[in-house]
Amino acid sequence: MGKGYKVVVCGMASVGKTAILEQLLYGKHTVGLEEGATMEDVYLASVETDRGVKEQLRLYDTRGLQEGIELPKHYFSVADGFILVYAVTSLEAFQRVELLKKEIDVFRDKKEVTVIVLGNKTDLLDQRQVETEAAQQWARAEKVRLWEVTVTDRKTLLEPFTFLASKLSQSQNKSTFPLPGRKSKGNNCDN
Amino acid sequence: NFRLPKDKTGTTKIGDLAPQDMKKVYSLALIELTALYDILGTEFKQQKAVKIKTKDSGLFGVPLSVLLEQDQKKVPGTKIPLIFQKLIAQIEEATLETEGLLRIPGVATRVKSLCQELEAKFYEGTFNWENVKQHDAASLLKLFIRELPQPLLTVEYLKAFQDVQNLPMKEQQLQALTLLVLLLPEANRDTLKVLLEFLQRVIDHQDKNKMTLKNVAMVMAPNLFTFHGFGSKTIEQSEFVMAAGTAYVMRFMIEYQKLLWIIPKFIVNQVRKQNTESQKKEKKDKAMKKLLKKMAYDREKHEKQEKTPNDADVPQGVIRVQAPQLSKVSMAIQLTEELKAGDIVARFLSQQSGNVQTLKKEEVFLYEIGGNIGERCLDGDTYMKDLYQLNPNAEWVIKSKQS
Repeated sequence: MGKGYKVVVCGMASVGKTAILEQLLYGKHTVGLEEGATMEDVYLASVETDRGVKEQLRLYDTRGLQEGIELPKHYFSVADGFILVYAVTSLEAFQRVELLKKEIDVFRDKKEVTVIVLGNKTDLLDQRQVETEAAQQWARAEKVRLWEVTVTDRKTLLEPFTFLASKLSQSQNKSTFPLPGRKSKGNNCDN
Repeated sequence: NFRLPKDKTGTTKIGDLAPQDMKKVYSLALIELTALYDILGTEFKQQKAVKIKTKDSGLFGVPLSVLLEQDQKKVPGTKIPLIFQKLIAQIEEATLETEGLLRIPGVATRVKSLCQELEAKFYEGTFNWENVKQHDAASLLKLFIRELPQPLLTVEYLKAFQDVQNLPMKEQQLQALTLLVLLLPEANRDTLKVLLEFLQRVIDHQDKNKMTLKNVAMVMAPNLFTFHGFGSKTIEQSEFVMAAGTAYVMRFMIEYQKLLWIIPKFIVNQVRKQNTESQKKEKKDKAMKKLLKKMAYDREKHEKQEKTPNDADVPQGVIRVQAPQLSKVSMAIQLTEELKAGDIVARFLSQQSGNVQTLKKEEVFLYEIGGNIGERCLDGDTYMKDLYQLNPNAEWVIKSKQS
């Protein structure tokens, strides 16, 4: 444990969180195949950053949120980054993402935390409820990056994850313990 | 014909448990066996091992342990003597359909010279197997078993193996054999297993080779059960009587070999109990120390101490399965009545595509680790909910065997 960046993937139930991860990691996901609800799965992925370095991500695939079910609080304290997922076919799911973003801001107001947003299911054209422009506008206001993706096309998933890994490795927020001893030594010198 | 009742918490095979638990299994098996023989009035005496001068190198007439030591230098991790494996492979390569296989002896003079040639050339790798006739190879195999300075079933328990025939009920006979197998040293047990499996394969071809279970048992028994190291000279007649009895035991072992490698449930449960007890004791000791410390300076706070349940994030009936070797490293799984260990492994592997993972399905298993057991490899048919109730504090890990 404690290796790599911890990234929590969250969003409404059945927006395709697990599907995105499985497609990204294994390159195969059958659309529409209901695998049953996730409880909490953890994946270890090594993602290449824009500088060509591989970074290890611990991806926490969480249980889909529903009316009245909040994201358990402990996730907020462990995460280095968040992937908020909604489906473009569900306005409710998008609103949930807005809500989650607010919660993240509350819990992690001082610490650095990377957030990206994914709008899944762009392949279902005729069922779209969330307009691209509206979503992007919100994202710009919140200063987060937002991509519309579909698990049917793995290429759409690569850019967001590369961006996330790059962003995480730039921040100093690696989830390892700070080197102990230095400070106390310094203090001793002062004395 | 009988089989073990299906156990919902899964069958435990030899090799599924961690060494520290196997030690406990060993002592429990010894106690059980002694008790079993005692109740039934059959004498159970561990024969004392006679010290015999043995060769410390070579092939025939060399102790298993010495052979394995030699072999492990050649092929690390060898558990069954290479010559033994090779002889079996040699016999099988020809065809198992040969009539009278194992029954018909090889030509004595040829076998003798082969034997000498093998001693000289086997490890050099220069021995020419092509000219070895099948019946000669079979003779060599039997010779190898006979020539072991300590019998394959060990000096200590050979008598006990023979006495299995005297137990009145089949269930007891099977029980005794299971326990005896547990008591064998690893090398003997592994070699015996390979032999029994081979014999079964010979029997599987009985239509062609005419070697039925009875026939195979009859020809093989003398090789396993004859041992002249006890000092007393057996009279020919008693040897005849013995031959019939040992053939029966041999037959039993071949027929029920699948059951012999399963550690009886009551023994596994006893191990769990022992572990729980020793943990309790440890806890008690610790708690006592803590208590004394506390009492020394703080009586009030002691009362306030309340345990806050730590499992808030893991709701009832959900287990967390770890798989550090896979890219899906952890999964929280809701237990249901129907959920089996095999299903969990399948769930982890369902998405692993071949290029990402080199692990094969047959090689990864779900393990039960900690709690009241050291470590136990679960068979696919283990019902997880039942096992969870048996060992609620275990960790669940998916990994490949022997790593």
